[in-house]
Amino acid sequence: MEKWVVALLAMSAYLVFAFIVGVLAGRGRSFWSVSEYTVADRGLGLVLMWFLMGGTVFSAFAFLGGPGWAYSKGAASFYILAYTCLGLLPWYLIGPKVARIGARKNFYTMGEFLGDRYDSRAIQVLVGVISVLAFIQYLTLQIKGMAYVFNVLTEDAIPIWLGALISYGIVIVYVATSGVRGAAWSDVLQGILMLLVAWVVGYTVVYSFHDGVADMFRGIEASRPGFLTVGAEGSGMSPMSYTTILLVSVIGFIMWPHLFTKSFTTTEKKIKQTVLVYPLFAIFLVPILFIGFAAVGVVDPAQLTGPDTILPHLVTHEMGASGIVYGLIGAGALAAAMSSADAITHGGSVSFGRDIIQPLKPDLPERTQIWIMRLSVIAIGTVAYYLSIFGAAGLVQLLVGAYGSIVQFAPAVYGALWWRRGTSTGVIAGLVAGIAVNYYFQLVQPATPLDINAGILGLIVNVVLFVGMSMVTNPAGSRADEYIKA
Amino acid sequence: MAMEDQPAVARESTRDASKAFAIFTAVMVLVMIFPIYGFANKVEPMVLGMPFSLFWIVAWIGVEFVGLLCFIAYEFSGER
Repeated sequence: MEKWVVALLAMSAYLVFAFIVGVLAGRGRSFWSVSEYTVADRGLGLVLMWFLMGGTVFSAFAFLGGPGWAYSKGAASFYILAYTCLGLLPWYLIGPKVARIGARKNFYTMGEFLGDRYDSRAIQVLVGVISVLAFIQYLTLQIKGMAYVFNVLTEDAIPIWLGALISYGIVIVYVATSGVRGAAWSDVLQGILMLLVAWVVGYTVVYSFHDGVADMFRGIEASRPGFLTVGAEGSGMSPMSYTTILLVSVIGFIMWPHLFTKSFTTTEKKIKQTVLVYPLFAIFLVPILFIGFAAVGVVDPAQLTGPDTILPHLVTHEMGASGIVYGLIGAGALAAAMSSADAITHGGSVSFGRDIIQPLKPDLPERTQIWIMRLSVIAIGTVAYYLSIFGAAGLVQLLVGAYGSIVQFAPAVYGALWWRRGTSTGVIAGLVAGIAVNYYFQLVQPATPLDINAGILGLIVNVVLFVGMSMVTNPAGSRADEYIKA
Repeated sequence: MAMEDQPAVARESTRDASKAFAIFTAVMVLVMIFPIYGFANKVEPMVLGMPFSLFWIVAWIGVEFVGLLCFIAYEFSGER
């Protein structure tokens, strides 16, 4: 049998399985409950939480972008390990507080949380709009990943548009029918598959080109001095750039609304136990970086359309791999992309329904709200699909660009929980200015001062304006205590 | 609906180590960024086959895991 046929069969088998698991997850639950759809009635168990939160790390970025960074930028790729292990630490502190407030006040989204704390519907809608836009950007990245993997491993038998349509179509169906529970259950399947594939493929790749890990790194150090350290000659990134991109990622991680709102799906102890497994997830990413390092000196960059294609290129061109390996990698990469896409699609539909539509039409019956959310899964999915097939941008830049805007929520969130004096004027001023600065340095200016990440520059302006404007305006109402003491 | 969720509102931990945890987080971040990471940012000595710049991160991830275990054990083990 042709290798690409085996790959196609393996990926199809995986897709059918993911579809069944995702759709079955919602059975026996109330189809018409907003609480069930959005936060699983605040009752998700520990294993589901692990994989639901873990699925976000194991994205197309990790699986394709990770080896790509290791191959093209060397030690700068260590940043992926560092932010994975650090990203969830702040959740240990803010998650339980947010969970208690959310359960008491019946919140489902970050917009509701911030809008209530600062007594401002404008903030809620603003957060909703930014979230949906960032989600769409993030989604296009995952969809491109799925489509690309499908296309390469089936040796062009499945065109880009069709691969994206099949794999993302399945995500849309199980998210629309089963809500957060559909995403969580399919993430368990996808997480296990991806962890397995990462290690098998990582070590297979290393040992097919080198005599082990040490031999591989010694070879790189001999041929590319400086490649294995950050900031030296021959390295892909300056120390300042490395430091600030890591800071943006760590501060921004839990500000992603689809992760932030997972505080509402469970309770304090499970939140803290979920933080505990993140270092383990980070360790699991190590072999993924090895894939990229193994290709240094083996693959000529001129042969690639971009560094993100290094993993599929290695498998199809360099290894003489069997059809089974094709299939494993295909299924693993699909799993990585889909487990992120489902959580983001779900988050987008909830943000759209609760933070954009609800404030404009507050007295909608629950059934109508549910319909709006389920239909917006399809709407958001369609937009993201269109952008990913017809738009263009590098995988990593896309994610970092979206990250830059999301991190701007941080001052308002931390202020809500620990600073009495924050006001809605301060939040809006900081948020708008922070996002503007970020975009100015990302899109208009070719470089930033001192090589500082654009998101950090935005954050500095954001914090100054948030604190400054809050001090000169009066806080509306006195909800601060309720939040700070939660 | 919110009222039925009363158990979720209550604190589950019996002891609060938030301040210590904030310090723990800060230390974990500082060892991963410059200037402190600069001390580990070199190839030799290689450990477990990895350049020191990578081993440093992996080792601290181990420290983080043990630290988290201790925090959770401490916060959830006291008398209610």
